[in-house]
Amino acid sequence: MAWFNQTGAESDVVISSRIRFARNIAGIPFPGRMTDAQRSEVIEKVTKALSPANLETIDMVAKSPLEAQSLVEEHFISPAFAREKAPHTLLLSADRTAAVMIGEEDHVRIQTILPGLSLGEAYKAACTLDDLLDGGAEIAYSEDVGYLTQCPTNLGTAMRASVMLHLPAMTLAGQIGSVARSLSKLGITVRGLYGEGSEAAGALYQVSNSITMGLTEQEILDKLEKVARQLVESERKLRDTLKSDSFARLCDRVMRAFGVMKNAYMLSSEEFLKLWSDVRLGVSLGMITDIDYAKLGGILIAALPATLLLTAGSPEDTPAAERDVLRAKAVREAAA
Amino acid sequence: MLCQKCRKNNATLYYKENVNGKVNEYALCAECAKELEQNGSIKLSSPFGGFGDELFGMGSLFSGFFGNGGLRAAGEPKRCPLCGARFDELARSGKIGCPQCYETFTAELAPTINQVHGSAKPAGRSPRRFGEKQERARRIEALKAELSAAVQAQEFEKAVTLRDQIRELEAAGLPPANENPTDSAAN
Ligand SMILES: [Zn+2]
Ligand SMILES: [Zn+2]
Repeated sequence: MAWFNQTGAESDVVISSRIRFARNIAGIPFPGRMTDAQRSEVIEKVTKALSPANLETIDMVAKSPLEAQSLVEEHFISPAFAREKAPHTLLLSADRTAAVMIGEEDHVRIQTILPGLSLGEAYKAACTLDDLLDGGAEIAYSEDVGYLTQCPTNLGTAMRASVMLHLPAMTLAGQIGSVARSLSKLGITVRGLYGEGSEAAGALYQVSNSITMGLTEQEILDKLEKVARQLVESERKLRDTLKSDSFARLCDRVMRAFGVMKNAYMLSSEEFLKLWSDVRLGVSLGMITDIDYAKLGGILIAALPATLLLTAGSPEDTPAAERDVLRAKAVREAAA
Repeated sequence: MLCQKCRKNNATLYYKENVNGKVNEYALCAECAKELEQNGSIKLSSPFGGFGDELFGMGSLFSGFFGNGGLRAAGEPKRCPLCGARFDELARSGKIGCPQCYETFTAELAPTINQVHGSAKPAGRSPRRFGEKQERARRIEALKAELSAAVQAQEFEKAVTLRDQIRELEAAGLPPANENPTDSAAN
């Protein structure tokens, strides 16, 4: 069970919490200047250091583009890691809460991802892996600029903490843009998960720290958690207002979305994300009771292009119209 | 900060150009920067991207830090002893070559690091070998305070014990002595 088909704290608004650490081994060039032999050396060293964590070792070179892209959709790897041609390896925990990329932009990217609002727990899990790595390799660090990374923007803690939020009511109220602007002054970045701009598809947003220097990890997490809780409160208040001010209209919209989800024969990504968001809003307001957040999370990932094709056993170049038929079928079956 | 062109999106890119000695700076969003680059109005020189667009969502940081001649020092250009990179190569690729580069090019990188992170210093976690060092320094400080209090109170026996503890901690922070005990005894 991964972050997307489980629920956690504040799941009506918070989908997941994620921590990422960038780490490099002293004395070895960064990935941009590594030879394949050095890549293999790093992979071996890191895999060995992390072996007490019992992670599955996945040789990414052996993966098809579709398999790699599906791992991107599940948020276990980055698009750059999926595109990499030189040796690179993913370590994945059996419960799929921890994923370690070896040979991405930095030697090591430790990532932990948990359902709901659980930054503290995700951070603890990431620290456990970081400590193991520290025990088995000399981590590049300087007292002047912190953890040494290939890109200077990540110096300092080299930590990116983020929460994924579902904000349909704030999106409807047109508030995302102004909220994002005021948060950016606090060193917090808000961006749409699917597509840029203030009206992200599916009303899904990633909220993360942009500052990595001068604050401890705990200070960064406290700040992000506080912001996340404020957003949860605003979103809930707006949902309640929406429900009391225009109950019939909202209920109609939500139930229609659920109906289409269960009956459509073709669904584009775009339409699916709209329906998905409406249905999730309906669940949070008690208008829909025969589907839950965990199931909806599973449907979301299953409907994304690569995961969809991979599950259906269809080739990467399946035409869009055929893909839309497959998507509708997968969604219909999962929502039934 | 808002993009200075569209005044809608957040500025994630900084562009600095030097036109006949007159320096212009712009803050732009990714879309506007791309548009301006495509129509040839600006030339993006040294991309120092974030954690990777998808990965950490910082966007990229472009700037003209490295332009304008400061690097054309006389003689052989300096190279990083570990990865062999020259600074202009780092500037062109937007990537640092290796951990050692940060030492090799401290002065050259300072403006970039300062622009991104300001004057803030790292805080929080550090690898064990640094953590131990910091912890040791903190304990030595505490013992020294105790020592001076003991001396002032004329508790000389206690002071001797404290002094020995301090010496022991300080020795633990030094590079390891000769590994052969007979040799070190002979010296
Ligand atoms: Zn703009
Ligand atoms: Zn170097």
